[in-house]
Amino acid sequence: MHGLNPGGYTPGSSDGSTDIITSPPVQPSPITYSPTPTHDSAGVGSMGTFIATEQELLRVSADLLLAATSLATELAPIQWIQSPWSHALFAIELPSMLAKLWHVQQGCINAGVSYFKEEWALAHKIDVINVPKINNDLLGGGHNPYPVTPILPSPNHGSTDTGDIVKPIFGTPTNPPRSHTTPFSPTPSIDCTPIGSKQSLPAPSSLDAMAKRMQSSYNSGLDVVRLEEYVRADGHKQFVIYLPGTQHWNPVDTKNELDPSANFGALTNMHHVPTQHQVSNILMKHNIGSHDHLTIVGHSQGALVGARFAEAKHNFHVDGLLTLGAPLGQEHMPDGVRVLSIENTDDFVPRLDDAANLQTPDWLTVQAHSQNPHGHAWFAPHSAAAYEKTAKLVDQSANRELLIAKDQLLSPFSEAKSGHVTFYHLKG
Amino acid sequence: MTLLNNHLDVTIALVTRAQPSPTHWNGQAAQACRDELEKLLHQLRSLKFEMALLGLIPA
Repeated sequence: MHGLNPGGYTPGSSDGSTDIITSPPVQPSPITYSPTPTHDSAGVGSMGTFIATEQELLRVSADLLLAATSLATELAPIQWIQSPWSHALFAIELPSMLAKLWHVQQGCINAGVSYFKEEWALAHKIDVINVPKINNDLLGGGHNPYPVTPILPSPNHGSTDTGDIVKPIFGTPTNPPRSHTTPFSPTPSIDCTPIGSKQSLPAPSSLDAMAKRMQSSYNSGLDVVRLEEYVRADGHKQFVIYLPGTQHWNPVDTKNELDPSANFGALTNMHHVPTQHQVSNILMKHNIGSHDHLTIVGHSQGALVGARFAEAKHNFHVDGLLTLGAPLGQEHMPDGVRVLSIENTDDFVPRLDDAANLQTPDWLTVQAHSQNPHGHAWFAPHSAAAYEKTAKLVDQSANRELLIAKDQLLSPFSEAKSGHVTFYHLKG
Repeated sequence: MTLLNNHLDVTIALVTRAQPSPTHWNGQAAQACRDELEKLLHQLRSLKFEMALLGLIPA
């Protein structure tokens, strides 16, 4: 707390500690506010201890003012005429009493300043804060991290495919999206080693095909990222990167970049998980420029990493994102990224963030009960194999919004020539 | 005299009322405030007693 030093009145208590109000004042004098911090027990905010309410300080100050007024009005001339002796005695005592009241009142005011100055300063700053300007300064303009999300027109998916077990989700979630627009640069310490390649690969023509290729990333038992390269009809390159999910469920931080500790990092937004840098490194190895196009397919943590990569500032042009079983309720996709999220209703992972995905014209979330390939194992609905089957269901759906989303995601590949694939092994 | 007596009583009541509530303000500063107001109350009551003793106001 800050001490009060009103002129000749020296704060100080018998135990040597300083405080706002301690001993009787001699004469009222102009207040000198000393900013020297002391170690009063009134550590509001610093130690989380409750000390005072602002209203109580104001009440005490107001009552003291009333008492001082009450005393001062007694010295009116008419009162002197009525009882001069008593008022003479009263007048002798009055200055010291008024001075005392005045000092106590000033002490209350200074205590209030000491306790609440941060809140008052903050309130003032909030009044004058210019959010659009700060956004512009921080983000370089053009990108608003909190856009107004239009509510989609009333869905009529039931009219076209009644009984469809694949259900697009509509509406606007209540959670404010986080922003992950912090630019990052690739870290050379993270190694991405190509471990194989294959030529003459047909472009994916369905979500099922993408999910199958996603699932194949798990087959080797290694942390494998798959990068496909095609040439579009317009001559530009179209890349697809497949990011697998958590490969090991050891709660202890391992060397593996796809372990639960990285999940925690991604979910809590503590830092860019290493795989984002690995994605960037892989793309740079292929000389992918801003004129080339990139589609990301991710399962579980891989989808979370892919979403964060799509949100981050870099020179790569991400135009599509297919996510399988990922908690993306806190994510916000920039304009121009077509996102299709598939979630199994019996999979707990998409619900880990306790929030529904943001629904925008460019982002559609589809839910369906998993076609569990491994019986009733509790984790089976989250497996890539389960999502492969769900993707097949989504492909079969006749839902209008779903067809549009699917078409937008797959259209870059419709006229693409056959390409080739490179596999990368991730090493921490 | 009656007026002054009432005035002192009102002032004493106001100062008593001005004491910080222990539930809404605690710590050293609040205790110092209470101590000061207690001394002021004592001063006011002493004044009232002296005046009554001198017969300046009714006891």
